[in-house]
Order: sequence, then C-alpha cells, then structure tokens
Amino acid sequence: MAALLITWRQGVLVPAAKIAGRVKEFHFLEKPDILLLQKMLPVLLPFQKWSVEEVARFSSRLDETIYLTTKPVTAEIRQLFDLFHIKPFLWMNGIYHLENANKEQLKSLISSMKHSRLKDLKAAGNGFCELMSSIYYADPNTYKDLSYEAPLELL
Amino acid sequence: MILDGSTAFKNQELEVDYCIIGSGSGGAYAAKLLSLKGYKVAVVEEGGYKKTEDFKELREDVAYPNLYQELASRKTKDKNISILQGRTVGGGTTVNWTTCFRTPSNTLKYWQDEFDLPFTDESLETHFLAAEKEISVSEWEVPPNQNNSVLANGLDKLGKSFGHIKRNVKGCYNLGYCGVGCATGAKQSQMITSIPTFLKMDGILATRWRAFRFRHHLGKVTKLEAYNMPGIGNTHGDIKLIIKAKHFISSAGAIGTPALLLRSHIHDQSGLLGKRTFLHPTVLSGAVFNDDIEPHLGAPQTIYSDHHLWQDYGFKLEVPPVHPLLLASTLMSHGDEHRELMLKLKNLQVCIALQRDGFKDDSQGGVVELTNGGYPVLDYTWSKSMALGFKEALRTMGELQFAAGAKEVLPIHVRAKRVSNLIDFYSHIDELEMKPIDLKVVSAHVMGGACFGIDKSSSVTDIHGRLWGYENLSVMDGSLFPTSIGANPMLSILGHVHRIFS
Repeated sequence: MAALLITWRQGVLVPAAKIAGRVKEFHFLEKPDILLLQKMLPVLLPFQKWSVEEVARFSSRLDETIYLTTKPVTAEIRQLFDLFHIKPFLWMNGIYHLENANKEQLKSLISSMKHSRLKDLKAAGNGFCELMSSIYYADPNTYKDLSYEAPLELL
Repeated sequence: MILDGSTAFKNQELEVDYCIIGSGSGGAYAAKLLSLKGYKVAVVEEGGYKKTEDFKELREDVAYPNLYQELASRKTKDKNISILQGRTVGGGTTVNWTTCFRTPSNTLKYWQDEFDLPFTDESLETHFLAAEKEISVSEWEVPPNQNNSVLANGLDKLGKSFGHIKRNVKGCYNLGYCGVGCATGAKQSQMITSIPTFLKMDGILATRWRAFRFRHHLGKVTKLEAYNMPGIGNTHGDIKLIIKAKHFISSAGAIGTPALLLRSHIHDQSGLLGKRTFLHPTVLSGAVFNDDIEPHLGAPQTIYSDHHLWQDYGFKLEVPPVHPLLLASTLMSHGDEHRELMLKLKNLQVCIALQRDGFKDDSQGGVVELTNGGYPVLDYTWSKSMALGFKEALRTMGELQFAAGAKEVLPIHVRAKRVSNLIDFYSHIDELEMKPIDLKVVSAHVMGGACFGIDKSSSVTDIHGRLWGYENLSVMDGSLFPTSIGANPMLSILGHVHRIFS
C-alpha cells in the first residue's frame, strides 16, 4: 500500500504540483486545469510520452493560445475546463476523484460527452478534443512523423 | 502612411474624404478606386500589415493567430460550424485559396425573380472583366495536384461534369501554402494589388485598430470610433482613433459589417440588418489511398464540379488543401483513431461540398448578434432540407472517391467509421444522422446580413450599397448579397464594387 501510495504520489501528485507551481506564469490556466491536462493528454494523445516537461510545454502553448482569443471565447473555454472540475459531473461518469481516474474511465467520459443527447455537452466534448489536438499539431516538431515536409525546404 | 494601432500610445484624430472599414476584397478595392479619383481615403483594418516576406515560414501555427479572425477558430453560437475568415491587410484575399468564380447565372436569375435585382450576366460583364484584370484571373495551366485529380477522376468515372478553376496568381510556384499567406508574392491579393496603389496615392492605412462604432445624427454619420489592438491578440485597448469623413464605407465582412452597424445602433427600416447571413455550409469526406496524395502540395483548388449545384439541395464540389493543424481540428475522432489518420496525411484525399444557402423558404441563414463587449457571434441553424443536402453530398463524395480508387472512405462525422467498400458505405451513410455537432460543418464564405435591394422595406441598402436613410454610409462587401453566391465569393465582391463606382 505504501509503495502504491509513493508511486501514485510520484506519478501524479508530485509532477502536477511541479507544474502547478508555475501557474502564476499562466494567463488562463489554473491549478486544477494542470491536473486535468496531465490526466487527459495521455488519453487524447496517447502516442506521446507525457513527461512533466512535456505537459508543462503543452500547457504553456495552450495558455498562450487561449490568451490571444477574444474575451467571450476565453470565457467559454473557462466554462469548458470548469466542467471537468464539477464533481457531480464526474460522479455521473463513475469518476470520484479526477486524480485517481484511469485511462478507461477518462476515455469513457470523453465518449459519453461526444455522444451525449445534450447539444452543449456534445459541443463541449468535441471542443475539448479539438482544442487539445490543435495545440499538439500546431507544434512543428510533430510534422516529421506525419511525412509533412518541412515547409522551408520547398523554397 | 501606416498608422499602427499596436504601438499607439495616445488618442488620435483624422479627417479624410472617405473612411473605409476593412481592407479585404471590398474595402481595399474601393480604397484604390477612390484614391485614383483624387479623394483622401483612410482604411481601418483590425489585422496587421503582413507582407510577402512575413509569410516565408509557411507555418499554420504562425499564420492562424496573425492572419485569421479569432485564431481561425471562429464558430457559430452553438459551436456547430467553424468559420474561417481572414483578419489582416487584404482580408480574405491574403489567405484564400485563389479560387475565382463569377456570380453564377442561376444566382443572378434567382435574385431577379425573388428580389427584383437588375443584375444579369450581360450587365455585370464589364465589371467582372475589370475585376478579373485587377487581380489577374487566368486559367491555371499546370496539371492538378493529386488531391484535385481524385475529384476529377472520380467524377469522370461516374459520368459527372467538372471544370477547371481559374486562379488569381502571377508566377505561382505551385507550393500549396496559400492559406498561410503567399510566400512568393504570386497571389494577387488586395495586399499586392490595391493596397500599394492606395498607399502611393497618400492613403492612410490604420492597421490594428478595431472599428467600434459610428457616431451619427439625423441620417448622417459624423465619425468613426476605433480602438487600438495591442500585441497580436483579439482584445482591444482603450486608446481611441477618431476618423471624421464625408463618407463612410463598411467593408468589414459579412459578420464584421452587421456587427459594426448594430454596435452603432444604425436605424434599419427593413429589420434585416444582421439577418439572412449565409455560409455555404460545407461538409467533408476523407479517403485513404494506397498512392501518395500529398494533399498539402500544389495549387489547392483547381478542379470543381457544379454537377449537383442546382439540384434541389444543391452543392458545389471542391477540395481543400490539407495541412496538419487544419486536419487535426477537422477530424472528429480522438486518441489512437485520430492519430492513425494523422499519420496517413500523405495518403489522404479530402473532398468538400459547399451547400447553396438561402435559396429556399426554410433556408433563411443566420443572425449576427452581439455579446457583452460588442463582440459578434453568428447564430446559425441549418434547415431540414439542408440536412438532406448534407447526406446527399457525403454520399456523392464517397462514391466519387471510391470510383477514383480510394481504399477507405470516412465521412467527417462523430459517429462515422472508415469503410472500405461501396455497399457498406451506402448503409453507413444511411445510418448517419445529420445532426448539429455530430456532423462536421465548416465555412470559409460568409455572405449577407446587410443585403442590397430596390426597396427599403426589404433590404438594408440600395443597389449601390448605400444604407437606406443615411446620406453618407455605404456597405461594400459580401454582406450585400441577398443569398449565398453558390460559388467562392471574392470575385463577386470585387465585381460589385467596380459596378458601384462605375
């Protein structure tokens, strides 16, 4: 049990705390958002090793992007992130503590949102996935895997 | 003279003959024509003044925040439709895919029948000729890239008609990165054509200023109030630019113009301001081929088909250029499934079907509304007949993709699966419900919202774009159209601006 607890602390809490310590540097992201990203990124973008540094880099890019949008869009994205922090919403999907949720539970949460009968929930599920994949593929470091030629070589 | 709002530190005031809001196809062309007549003109543009040398990186992550409205992530109110609109000097013409069509004859005929508008192919001929000359529209002699070839081959095998798209380029390198700004200066955007002439004629280009409202009294606009836009973000500051002019022209696009007029509490007798806003709602079909398609390389749009355009739920077929960020945000899957398709980018072909919009009783378009702070949002709901059109379009695109040799076809829909034969494909399409949010719908053409007409009770402006009841306020952009065009609208906007000034 103690070993498990240590693993859990090392795997989740400690790294999350490390990034959360940088929250002051973010314009938009708040502490609970970092935990959400750390849990969700391996589910939505599972081919990438999500080390603490990678999550931090991603969070930074996400934060900068959201900072550039209009106020109404920023407010909507805040609502989107806050949705994942509403406990009854997570309970309805069998998740009692986000930090303890496993990949299958999170996958099922995203699927249930995307396939919901409620239009707003569907839009939230799709919007969250779209935002995450956009930020990921906005990074030119991802081009090589896609056989997408480095544009400069064309000129 | 360039007046850069991003570095402004104190309020400023200008006085000119004409004040134009927006530097896209309507605004920049109007600015040039007026400057050449000897008028003192100021153009107010929310985006920055990016030039050819600024586009050398050819990167989506650089282009979208700098050159597009809301970082290329603008959506309708219900998040159902993604809208791509330019926000830079040259507007949409700087970032579009260089596709040039005149207003189709059938659209003009519909406008005559329904709105008594006096436009015909013949009456617009000289104006389209002038517009085509202005932006160097010509046949594209280079063979189509693989993405376009699939569209041509598939249609050909099915016995359906298709044509070759004319482009506004000079000395094009055939790179395929038009959407992130032309790095070679080949694209004859307004940034290349009208803006330099306008600047030479002592025009004032006020970039990174958000035109916020007109001040007006007794049917006369007295001034425009604009706010500075610091940095590259979308939030304005509190430094003011006041422009007094004899005449004001709004060319801020079919969301921006109605929003500006609504923020200004412009009196509209027809009740149509901001209403009947059309999008050419566009659905997508992806196909995986064994051969390399490389859909990001080569002139983006060179083949089209109007075979289905004038049927009951009509749509125009084209292809988009496929770059990583655009693809990633378009696919509706996530996790491994999403990654698998991203890794197939090289072998991926994508067709798009642009729905004709506004030609039926149940196709009334959307409504531009203002949120707190005056930001515009488009409330748009698609009609039942449009949903039937979407299904028909997805079916048609899949058929032609299989006919052209596709290994798998994927309609872009949250519940869609990749299917590898036509029989399974037909039953899969039948199962898919064309529900909002489930179906991916995008748009790069916004039209309407301040339509012209012959009668003030049924239109926002007269046929010259002058607002009814205002002696010195006009609209010159895609907002003027009473329906969608049924084709990419750039040339239609230029043609009408030329007509208005003739």
